[in-house]
Amino acid sequence: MRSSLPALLTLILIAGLTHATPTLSLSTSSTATLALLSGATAPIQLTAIAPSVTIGANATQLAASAVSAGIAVPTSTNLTAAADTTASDLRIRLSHISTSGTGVSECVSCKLQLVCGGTTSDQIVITLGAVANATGSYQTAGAAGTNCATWYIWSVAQGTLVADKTATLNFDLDVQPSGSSFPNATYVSLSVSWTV
Amino acid sequence: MVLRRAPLVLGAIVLVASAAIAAVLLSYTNSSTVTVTLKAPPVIWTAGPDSSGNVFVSGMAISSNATYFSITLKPVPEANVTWSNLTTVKNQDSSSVTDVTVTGTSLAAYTAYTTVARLEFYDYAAPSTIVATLDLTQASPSADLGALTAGQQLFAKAYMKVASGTGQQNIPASITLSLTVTP
Repeated sequence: MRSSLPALLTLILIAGLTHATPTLSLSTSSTATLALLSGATAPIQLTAIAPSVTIGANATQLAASAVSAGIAVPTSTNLTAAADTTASDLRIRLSHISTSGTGVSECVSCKLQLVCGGTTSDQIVITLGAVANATGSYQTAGAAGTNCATWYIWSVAQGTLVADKTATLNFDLDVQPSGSSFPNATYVSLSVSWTV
Repeated sequence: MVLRRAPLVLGAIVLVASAAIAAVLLSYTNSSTVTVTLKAPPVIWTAGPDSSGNVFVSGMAISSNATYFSITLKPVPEANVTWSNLTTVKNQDSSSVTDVTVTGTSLAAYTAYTTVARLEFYDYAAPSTIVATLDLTQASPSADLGALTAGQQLFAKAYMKVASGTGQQNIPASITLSLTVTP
């Protein structure tokens, strides 16, 4: 019993010292604010050219209905203007999302092009009812007020002698900076319907 | 006999022990100086390559101690917008931190208009991996980034998709992200 007393005192002292040792618990915090602007700042603005085309309120939505296709030769129609409204060069292209309608098989050749001045780029091509080219190459849209700031989406379509049917192509417009892949925007609500 | 004496012995021990503690505590009249210096915050925000110089953002600003930043995003209605690296979270300290958590304003009330809104945090050190995702469409958006070693940096890739007809009145004016660091 006598020998246990120093041990007990030692334990109590150690316990006291341990308890007195400060314990720091730190928690720092910081914040970030992401402000959101409305769609009025869309970098590429769409404007209807052909009467069959409807453009949404934000100028990022396009629906072209009942665009005629030729029989012996393709019919070309300037559907829409796509204008760079910013002070920077951008790159744009068209990409296939889906096709529908009984007339798709009647598309001898149905395609969308991007046209600026003397430059014409086939973007989405449907040949004999099948998608032959799903994604076009990027074209540079110059800053507002410069050369090729506005590109035009053309429909070039040839159908058959079979009774008229409808072929619908849903597609998107991809927008990128001129020098890199990011950040980018993909306008996903665009479509054209051909009468073939 | 032994049992009867035991309480006395135990009482004596407690008294002696108490006296000993008191003696120890009272014998110190310690005077010392403690110097406290403020250390830079261990984990900070930094600007990612997509935070400026493009048409999808504006007004990027980081506070002097890099614990606060603000930026204006420009989502496009009827479109998906992706920022490759909007911002980064970096441990600038020489020691590891135990845990880093990012929370954000919920956009759950804006489901009809904000269909996709998330940040993915990547560690590009080989092998490149996604560490966590902050889905702002959840009721309580939170992403646990885990521990960050000294110098480790995570890059935040941002996705935003707003539906047709979205205007300024349909989406919150801003989203706040909070970063909590546990040493």
